Amino acid sequence: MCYFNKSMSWKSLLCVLMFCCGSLMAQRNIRVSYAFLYKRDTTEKNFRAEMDMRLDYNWKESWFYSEGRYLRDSLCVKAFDKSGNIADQDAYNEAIRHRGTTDLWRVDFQDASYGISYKAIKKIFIGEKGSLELPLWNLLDSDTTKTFAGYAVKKAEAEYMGRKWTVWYTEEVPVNAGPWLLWGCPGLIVYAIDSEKLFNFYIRDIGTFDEPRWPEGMKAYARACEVERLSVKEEEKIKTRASRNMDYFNELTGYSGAIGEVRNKDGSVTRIQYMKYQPLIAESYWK
Amino acid sequence: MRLRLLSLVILLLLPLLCTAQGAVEIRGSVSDSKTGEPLAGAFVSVYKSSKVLGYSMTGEDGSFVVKPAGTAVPDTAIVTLMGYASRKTAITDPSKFLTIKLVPKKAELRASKVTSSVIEEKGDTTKYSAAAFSDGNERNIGELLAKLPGLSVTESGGIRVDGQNINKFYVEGMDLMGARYGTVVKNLTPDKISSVEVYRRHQPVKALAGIVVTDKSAVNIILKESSKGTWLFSGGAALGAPRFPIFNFRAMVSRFSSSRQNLYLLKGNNIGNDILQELREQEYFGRASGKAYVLRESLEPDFATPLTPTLSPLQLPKEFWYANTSGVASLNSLRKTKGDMLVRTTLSAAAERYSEDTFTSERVNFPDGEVLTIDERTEVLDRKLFMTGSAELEKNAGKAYFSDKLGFSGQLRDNDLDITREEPAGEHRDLPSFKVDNLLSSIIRLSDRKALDISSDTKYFRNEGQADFKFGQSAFRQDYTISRFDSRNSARFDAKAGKQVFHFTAGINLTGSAIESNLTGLEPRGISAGARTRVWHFAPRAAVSTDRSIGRSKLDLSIPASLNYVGVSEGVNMFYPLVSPSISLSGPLTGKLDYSLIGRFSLSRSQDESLHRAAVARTYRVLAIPDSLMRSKSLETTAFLKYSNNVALFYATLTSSYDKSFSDMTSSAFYYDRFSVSSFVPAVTAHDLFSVNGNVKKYIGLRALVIEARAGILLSSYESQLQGVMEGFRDRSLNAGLTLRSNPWDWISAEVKTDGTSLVSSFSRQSRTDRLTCDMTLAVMPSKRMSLLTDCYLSWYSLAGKKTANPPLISSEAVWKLDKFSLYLRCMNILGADELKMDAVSAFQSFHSSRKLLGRRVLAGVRMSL
Repeated sequence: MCYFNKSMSWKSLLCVLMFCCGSLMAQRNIRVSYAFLYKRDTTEKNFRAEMDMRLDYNWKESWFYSEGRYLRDSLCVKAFDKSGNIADQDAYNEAIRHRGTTDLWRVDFQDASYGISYKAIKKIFIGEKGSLELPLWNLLDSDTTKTFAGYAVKKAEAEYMGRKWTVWYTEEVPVNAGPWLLWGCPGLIVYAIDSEKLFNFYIRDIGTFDEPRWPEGMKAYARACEVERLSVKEEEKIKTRASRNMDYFNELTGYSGAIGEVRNKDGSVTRIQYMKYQPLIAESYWK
Repeated sequence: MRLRLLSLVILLLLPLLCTAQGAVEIRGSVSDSKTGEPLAGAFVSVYKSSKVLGYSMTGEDGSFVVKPAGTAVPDTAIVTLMGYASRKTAITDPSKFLTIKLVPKKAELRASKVTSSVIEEKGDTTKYSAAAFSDGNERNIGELLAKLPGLSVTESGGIRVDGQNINKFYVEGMDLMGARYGTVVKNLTPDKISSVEVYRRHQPVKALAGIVVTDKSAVNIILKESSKGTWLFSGGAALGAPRFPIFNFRAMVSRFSSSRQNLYLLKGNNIGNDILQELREQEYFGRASGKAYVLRESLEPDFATPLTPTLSPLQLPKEFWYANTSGVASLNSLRKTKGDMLVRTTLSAAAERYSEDTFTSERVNFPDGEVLTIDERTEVLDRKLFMTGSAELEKNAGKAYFSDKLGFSGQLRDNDLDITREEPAGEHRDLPSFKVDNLLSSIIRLSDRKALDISSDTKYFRNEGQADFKFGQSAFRQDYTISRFDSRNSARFDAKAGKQVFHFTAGINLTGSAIESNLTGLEPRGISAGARTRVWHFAPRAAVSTDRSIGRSKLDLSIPASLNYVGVSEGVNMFYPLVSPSISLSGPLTGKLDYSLIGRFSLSRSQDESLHRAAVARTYRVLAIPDSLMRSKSLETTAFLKYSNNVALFYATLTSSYDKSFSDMTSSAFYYDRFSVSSFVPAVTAHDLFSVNGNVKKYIGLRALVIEARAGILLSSYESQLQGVMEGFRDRSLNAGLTLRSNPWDWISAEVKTDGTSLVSSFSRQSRTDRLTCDMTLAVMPSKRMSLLTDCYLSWYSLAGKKTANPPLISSEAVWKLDKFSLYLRCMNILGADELKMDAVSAFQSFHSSRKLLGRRVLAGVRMSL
């Protein structure tokens, strides 16, 4: 059987090829690296930094997480046996080299929902089924030729989850995602900062991925942990309180270690009970 | 009446109801502009005066419904979807169904140039941003890789990480070329790559992951998004004069995706580019022993015989002296099947015509104070045709690994020498060779802690050599043919117990060699001039090795041993054991400081061919007699320290080694009549070798200034017989070098590389030679489209206090970059220097030579990369 007859011109063939290419591109999964700078309080001068945050986006959902933490969790599966003893010293040595925030953000664009996971040592609080709010972006400076990280970018502003965000997005990467829970611009968000200058995200690298890490990665994330599922509001409330009050954190986790204790030069120990902390979702948002 | 009243109320409330309903819904569909197919997953947002009011995603049928928030009526819809250009559509009538067609457009996911950190370390992986180290003048990725910290690139494209050969070279995670990856390194252009990943302690076999740890590294080239999976072309052509035509051309078509890779290359030149080097097999994963020593002019080590001619390479850029006409064609393909099986096929052919013109004054210092001086002018013409190919199947799964590689190589070579001295002499060699080999490896992961590795490396080669020598009125002929079958088979069991890993190996080597030589027309006194030797070698072997984690360090202990039975036709059969235990301790001392200590003892013998009991005329005036399975004992110790600070961009290495070896045979040189006979005599002698080498490298602003300083000392002592008298020789070599590279602004880039060596060779008398070389490169880019490059090479030699300075060797190139291609004009050896004078010493000999150089030439051409 001849699949190509005279009526099928080279243009038709080209169309078929382009469709195939187009379909492939449409299904592409992208992984974007972001730097996440934050302050615990407006009085702090300098930003603290998480330099290897990742956004995994597959057009249906996105996951935002720390690469270091992901590697640590994955290696810990290999490093420890079921009873919690070290089974693989090499994996353990490797695992402890990686650090990063334990927070995990997920957006489901089809369900218009989002979730946040907070891991406090051996306890995980999974905030689920938050209703995904559309940031009502005001697109600004649409004709400027500003570039960021090599991409032509445009500016947008919106009130979102209790904070006023200014973002720069690029139409060169036509996906509606961005760092953390920011989304909805007509292009990838490459830079974001809030009006109080407490939080700042910027792009560091961009690529694709074949093997999705999530939700399979949750197994390593939740390994040997007690999981509690609740609403996002409850999860944020617990996280904020635990991040500010050391006693509450210890009570929550049942941890009796030296977290919150600082050894002075004279050998005495000062116990820090309260700490500064600002959640990404403003507390006012929940009121 | 009631009905009228109700109607009035409804009419009055109708506008209110409409308002309360929340304005309108925007409905529409999104499809591909070319095919008309509906597009699912497109993000549709609607705006009123640039303020977003609502959004939706298209369903499987491409349709969408957006319900804007509030009462405002949207005036614009923007649709975005990966793989398509964003589309902005005006909403003139909100109730109208929108039909939006998206135009396919490939999104370029390029890495950030502004904010990305240039070196990222994650565990054993270090990722370098390519752009950060490039000054834009590199012609292949090899030149770029050489600028990365810890990496060096050999002339044939071999990559070393921290001085050690890599075990895998990937592009986009796939190994297209196997051990001949030099072709990619020397031909892929840097504008196609985004970053370079270096995997330290890389285990290429998934089934051995977590069980067997290696100390080798691998390199992975990450391409730019726009270069992934698409056909790439790079190439160029140039013509020049004098001696029209001088030419240089290259065309490479390649495609690198994660499931299929191809590389087709055709190149040739007669301007001094030694392109055959690229086809050389590098030490690589698969053949554990690697290639110990490869003659520079030999593409296949197994093709080397006593008749292989020795050429005289110079340590200066080849465009000044390498008189060649070369061509290379290479077809390579790698495909991943549905079952994740990799099918790799390669076929390469090369041809070269090479010539040398050298005057040498050789001075032989005898122990009794006599001096023999041989002055001769040698004109060499070497022609070779080389072909190699292989087909390989490989499956690298988590539970099992399998690979089988079947290869062949063939070479036709002839070599002519015209020698002018008191009595004219000449040599002509015909050296055809052929080889087939098969490498089979099968690894099974038995559990998380155990694995079984079965491998078989079998080869057969045949080298036929015929050399005709003329000296004065006499003429003689040397024939030398060797056929060899070699099969090395082994099974290794790996077991991990806690922090310790054990490896048990059992194997058997079977070798059969047939050597036949005949010297006709010459009858050396008391030496056999022809023989036919057959050697069978049967060697069962076993090895036990273990490695254990001690804190963050790793202790390796290995005891390989073999029993060897060698049967010789018309000779005495032999039976002997060989053993080479080794111990090493390595690991990080701190986060930035690594160390390794290695100790190795070995009891070894020379190759089976050395049992051939006949003299072979290697040149018209050298007869060589083999060493008859010389037995050696050696002890090698090495200490290595490495400091890497990727924040301060400071790197340092210090290597020290001491080797002591004893042999039961000693080399002997005997000059008589017009010949010298090189042979071995039974006498136990010792050979000591001590070396210390250090290297520091500091990047200031990555490209603004790179300073690299190196220094080393080498002390060696050995004994050898000269004219029947045992002599002790001592060599002391000092070397130091400094490289400064600077690219402070985009418009200028410079590199100065200076190296100095001082060698003192002594026995009853002392000879000393010094060498100082300076290689300078300056690149000026007055505009984005233009660059001017100048290379200058200077060298000085000194022998016994007599100094020789060579004229500067200068080349210059002007490049004009256009959108799709660049034009260039290159003038080589601008000053027209016609010879290079050199001095060298070696044991009891000293040499003063002068080599004819390639003269001034001008070349104009075009380069392009699409």
